[in-house]
Amino acid sequence: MIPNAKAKFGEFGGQYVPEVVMQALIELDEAFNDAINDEQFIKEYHYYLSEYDGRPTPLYYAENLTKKLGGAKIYLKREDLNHTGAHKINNALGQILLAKRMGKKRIIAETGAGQHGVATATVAAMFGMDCEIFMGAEDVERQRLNVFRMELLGAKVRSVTSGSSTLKDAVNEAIKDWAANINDTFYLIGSAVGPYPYPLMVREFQKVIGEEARKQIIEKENRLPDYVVACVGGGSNAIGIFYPFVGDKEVKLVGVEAAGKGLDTNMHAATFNRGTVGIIHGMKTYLLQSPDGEITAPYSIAAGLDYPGVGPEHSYLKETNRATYESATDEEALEAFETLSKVEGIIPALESAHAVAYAMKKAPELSKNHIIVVNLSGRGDKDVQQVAKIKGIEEE
Amino acid sequence: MENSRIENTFNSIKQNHRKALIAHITAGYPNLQSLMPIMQSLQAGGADILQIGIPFLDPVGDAPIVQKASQKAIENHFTIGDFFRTLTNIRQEIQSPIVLKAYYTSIFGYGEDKFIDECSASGTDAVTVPDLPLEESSSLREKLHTHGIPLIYTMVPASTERMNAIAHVSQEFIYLLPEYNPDEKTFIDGINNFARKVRDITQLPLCLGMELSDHESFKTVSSGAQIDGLLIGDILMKKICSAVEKGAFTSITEQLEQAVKGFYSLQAIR
Repeated sequence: MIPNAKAKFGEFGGQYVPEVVMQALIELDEAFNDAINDEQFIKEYHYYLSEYDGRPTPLYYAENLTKKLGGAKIYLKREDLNHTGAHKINNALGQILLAKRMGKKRIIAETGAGQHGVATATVAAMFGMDCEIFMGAEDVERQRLNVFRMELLGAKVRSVTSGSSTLKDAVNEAIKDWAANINDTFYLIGSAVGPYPYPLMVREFQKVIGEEARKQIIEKENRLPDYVVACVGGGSNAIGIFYPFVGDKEVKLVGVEAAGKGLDTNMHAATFNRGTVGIIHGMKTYLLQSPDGEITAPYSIAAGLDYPGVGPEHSYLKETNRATYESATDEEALEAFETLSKVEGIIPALESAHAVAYAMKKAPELSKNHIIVVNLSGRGDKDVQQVAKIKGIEEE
Repeated sequence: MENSRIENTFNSIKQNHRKALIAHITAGYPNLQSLMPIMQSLQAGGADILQIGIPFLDPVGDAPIVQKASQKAIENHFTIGDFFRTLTNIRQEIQSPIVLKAYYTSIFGYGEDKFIDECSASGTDAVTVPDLPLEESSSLREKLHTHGIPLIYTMVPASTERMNAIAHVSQEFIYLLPEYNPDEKTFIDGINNFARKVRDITQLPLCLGMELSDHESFKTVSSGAQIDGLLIGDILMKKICSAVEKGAFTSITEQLEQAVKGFYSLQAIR
């Protein structure tokens, strides 16, 4: 749906930001609406998606996995084959083209594990823009390789030590920086979160996933799938693949959140299964919070799912029962990570492994004439070291 | 209708040809019990309006010192419920207007209706919410107004249409947040141009929403800027934090009173 005049998806979303940031959002909203209605802009975006990023990505029939599970047919939307190894680049390309169009010279972005930071640094390098990435000091420590990668791409990584020194603090610092440098700086948000127009904009730059997948499944199967499954942290890969199917009522949309060590522990990132409605990073949405609205720390084995909130359009899809939100534990994700690697020769990102885990649970319950499309949002090379460590194969 | 405490304050300031001194501190640091003596010392030092920030872990508009104090307050189990109980007691002893600054995240989390009831019961004079722009504010504002409590907005240099819309729903006073410029003259000129534009659309007192942290800038702005009130805050929190760290909390009230007096004495008489 298109957010109403108040920038909402139903009651969710909005613009809970200081007045100084409102000025930037008003400018951004105008520029974005102007751009997506400009054929030339859309053409340029698709040019880079195809020539630089390598789109379209295949919709791959995972025959071995399907046979192993003995139920529904499983298709994988291969977002792991994008340049930089995940769907993040789709959005980074769209936003940097917008920044260029707005005459901005400097790009800032937040990053958790570093994936969005790398995607942003990549496009900033290509478009010759100054780039500064805000990253929690804890994450800088844990993700040294990605820090080096961003620096190699010419970005400056700013280590954030406020609060809990993690992703949510990096977002706060990035917003502060943006408010202070609004004239020349563009804030490139990595997920379908934040104040309007970001959730809408990120969806528009990610919906290419679902548009391709919808076309591809019709070509291959001559029908729509029964399930479309994607992992949900902030929710950009999920909204990207869901959105073009929202109007297809027979297609079940399933988001998979991180249940971490279990939903009944305090170590998970299950925003829908355990959270309540509140305000975070400029939007009204489901989040993990204390009774006074203090954000509580999320946890997941997959750094990209380790976010206390969720994109507001997902809250709307949940509230209107158009999508359901399930969860997978660390353990289930690890099992999916290994299974997909062994059976299909595809190492999925730990984030995407949550979606694969759900499909592995669901497929055997369904008959062979059912179809599940799983968004394989990223490749797992970045996670190999972590998994080896968990399995006791490698000491850090 | 009887004038509110805030209106009376601005009226008397006008008669004395000076600017309102607004002193802001964060509640709950080092603990809630210390809030009463801290507020008393600010009032004794000459602060005209006392502004209390409700600690919040994810502020986008606060200085590092305030973030640190907020974090400690929350680690020490600060709750909004306890805060209002303390505020009700403080109201008995403090005559100055009290403005609450709270992030909407906290208000929404605590419950908008419950928050407003507590504001009313505790004698809060106004509420300001940094992360609630005009677009999202109508529900809170209208509910507050039924209790006679204004929602204080912040304006930045924006389109006339937007400034008009904010002025239209504002009551009692407005915070102005001009663009900062390290060049003193450019900065003061910027404030004055901005304030002039806002005065064309509203009669309400205009206060600088930017915290001034040293005597020199305070003096310059106080004598040069055509506005009705100035805000100090971070400098007070720094004094509280350093006293707590040195274990010298008993002297903090004296120090705060002197600090506020220092700023008060620098005020230019118009």
